[in-house]
Amino acid sequence: MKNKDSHIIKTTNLSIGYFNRKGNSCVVDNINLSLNKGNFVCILGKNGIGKSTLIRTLTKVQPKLSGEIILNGEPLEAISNPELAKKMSLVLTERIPESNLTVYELIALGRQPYTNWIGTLSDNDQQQIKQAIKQVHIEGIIDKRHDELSDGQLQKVMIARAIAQDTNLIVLDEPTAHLDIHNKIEIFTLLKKLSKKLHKTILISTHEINLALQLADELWLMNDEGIISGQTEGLITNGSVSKLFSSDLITFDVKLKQFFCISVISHNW
Amino acid sequence: MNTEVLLDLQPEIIIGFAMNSNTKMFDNIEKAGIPVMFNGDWLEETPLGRAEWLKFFAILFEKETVTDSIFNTIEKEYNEAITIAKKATTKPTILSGSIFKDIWNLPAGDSFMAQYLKDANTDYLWANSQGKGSLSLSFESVFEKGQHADFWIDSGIYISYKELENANKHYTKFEAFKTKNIYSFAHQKGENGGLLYYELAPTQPHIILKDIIKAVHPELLPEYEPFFLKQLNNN
Amino acid sequence: MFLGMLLLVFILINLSLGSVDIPFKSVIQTLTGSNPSKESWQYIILDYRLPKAVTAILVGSGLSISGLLMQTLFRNPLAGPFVLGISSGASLGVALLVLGVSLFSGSLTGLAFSNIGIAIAASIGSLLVLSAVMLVARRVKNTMSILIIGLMFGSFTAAIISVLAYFSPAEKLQQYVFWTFGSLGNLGWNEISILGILFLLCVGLLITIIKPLNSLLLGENYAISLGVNLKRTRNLTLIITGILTGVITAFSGPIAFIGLAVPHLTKLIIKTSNHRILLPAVAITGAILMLISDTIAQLPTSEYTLPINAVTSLFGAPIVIWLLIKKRALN
Repeated sequence: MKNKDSHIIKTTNLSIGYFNRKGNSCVVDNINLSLNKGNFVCILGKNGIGKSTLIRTLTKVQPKLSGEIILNGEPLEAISNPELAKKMSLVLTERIPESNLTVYELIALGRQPYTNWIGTLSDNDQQQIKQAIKQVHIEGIIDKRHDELSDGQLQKVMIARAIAQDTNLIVLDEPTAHLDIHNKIEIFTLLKKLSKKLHKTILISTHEINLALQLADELWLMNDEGIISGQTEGLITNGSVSKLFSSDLITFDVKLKQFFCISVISHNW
Repeated sequence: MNTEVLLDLQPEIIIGFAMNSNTKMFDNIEKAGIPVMFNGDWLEETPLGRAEWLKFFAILFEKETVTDSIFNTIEKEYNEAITIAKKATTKPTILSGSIFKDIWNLPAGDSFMAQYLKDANTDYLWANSQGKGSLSLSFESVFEKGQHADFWIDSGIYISYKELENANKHYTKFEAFKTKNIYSFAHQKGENGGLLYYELAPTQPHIILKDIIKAVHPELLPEYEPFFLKQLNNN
Repeated sequence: MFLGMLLLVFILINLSLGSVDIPFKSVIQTLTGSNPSKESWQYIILDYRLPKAVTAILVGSGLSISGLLMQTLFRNPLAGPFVLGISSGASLGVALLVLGVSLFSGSLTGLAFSNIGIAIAASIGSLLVLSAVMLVARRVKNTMSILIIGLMFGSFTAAIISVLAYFSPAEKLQQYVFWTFGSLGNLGWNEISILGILFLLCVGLLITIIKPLNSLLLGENYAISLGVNLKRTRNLTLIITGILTGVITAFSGPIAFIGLAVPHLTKLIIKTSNHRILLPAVAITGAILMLISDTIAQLPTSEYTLPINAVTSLFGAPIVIWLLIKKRALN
């Protein structure tokens, strides 16, 4: 029973992919993973390996092909959307449609699972929104329209919205794509802080290997053979990380915890 | 009109109708060797003038003499009717036309209907308006002006007071509705449901004029039985 | 609040201006129940201008609400009942009823001429086109493509109508053609109450989806992640828009651009996307704009009137052009 408590998500023999007319096209199968409470977990892997598909399947955005996903001890498909909204919040890669939404209104939408039928914000809701704004330090822009923001600001606003949704689990799909290095570091440290300070479980997919290696508690490494998960340190020392890209162009320096381009190292100019 | 079918029929002559000088189709027909004549009866300014076009068609069928006498009768009877109408001691006010959607369509001041109403010695309320066709006016302006009209001549397609009321309940607020003085041309229908009025009226202006006189000055034509224009049915 | 006051002002203006010059004092006297100087004035105000004003309010706010719903649902600022061909769908329904019935059978003729029959036909027509556009829109994400598809639906229905018209008797055709002109002053209190009841029904349904509509502002996937039942929301939105557009089009004929333009005008005035504020604001702005259009269409103090559709297009078309240019600038 203790096991159940520490795992927020657990998958058994999960297959992910797409349904189509000719038969299902499976992206990854036989996935057995567990996500531990309060951890900051990064999914790493090259483009097209199925990171987004995994994220979308775990968050019920798209259906699984087979196997089992258990969220908080319940099968994912048995949890209704309104219930799920109180357990898991999302930050997706898709753009928000054009509208007049202000930053404050956008974050307030995070309170929808808790508001009444017409969406009235209670004092508690207002309090939660204020807290979320404070956590990501965006007090200065709350009256701006969402389409006036820079990419970095918008990403912080979306994270604040997820915080306002007050769920134990926050899942983010490539939260630092399109951001400059400064913003990338800011978002990563923010996520790390959320997991430590607010005890949130945070699952992200990312290409920022170097940042992930420094900050993630746990890694899910996706390559052609499957998914390897474990503590970041352990995966570095047992060589799993260096096998992530089976290519002669890239090498991994265990000491520096960094990937390098081989051509730079081997050819002097 | 299908030009191929028309050429295939090989008519001796085509009677054309054109609103303006753009007659491309007729030019083609003429090129095929079929003569085209244009019927301009709709340009006439008086009902009698229009009836006189009988003579035009008579020439085509070589029936000039018969037609001349027919037209002379029409002209005589029409002018007699005018004289009779002049004897009237009253000059009743007249409302005409009907409403569709927001718009009340009624005959303009220079139209045939206005001419008939004038010849029948009545006071058509829109006699001073411009134009030969019809006026499209707002309901409220017609209501303001025509509310107390003595007669309502040509109420469109409706032939009973009930139908009129169902079509638009504003109609019931007119004096002529309350006094049941509404007359319509829509009673006489041809075999295919078309109104005889539309088909025959151009050649029988004298009858239309007498119909109107009978309606508004019944005492002047005690024996006369109206043909086109009749009072609306009560049910 | 401010918009409400403005609405009252424009109702009064609309009631006092018309072909017949009635002094403002007499208008007020009539409305407050005391006898004005002329009996015909009382009739014109209470039985012609007042129903017309009420119709304008229902039509204006109904179409504007439809437009706003479509813009949120399609996540497309250029969506609207007229642009997406929904109004054409309603026209097609009416055309099939009025023109088609005469071709195929006589048994339905009674229904064809009743307003209820026309209302049902128009609602079904608009719902069908709406669902078709919705289906296409799920495959085609591009804003412009959806607009072009809407346009195509419009031409397609127009083509079917002209084929029908070719085989129809002149009398039926005339009835249909007059219907397409659009008008507000043709409804009696009976019809207005039907329109009003359906309007209120739709507004009732609408209130229940305000919350999910707000979350749809983030896109469908976010909406689902916030616990929204997307299918239910989408279906309800489609039903509401279909009925509102269909019934309004049935009673007043197709009226262009109000549904598209009003939500944008409102968003310029009120800087929020919260449907709880936006919906009533859009409804009131729509009512006001429709009253203004009608007042202009009456060409006060002249005997003539303009077709209401011409007036709304004069307003609406430039707004669409402006939006397209603005959108281009953003991209």
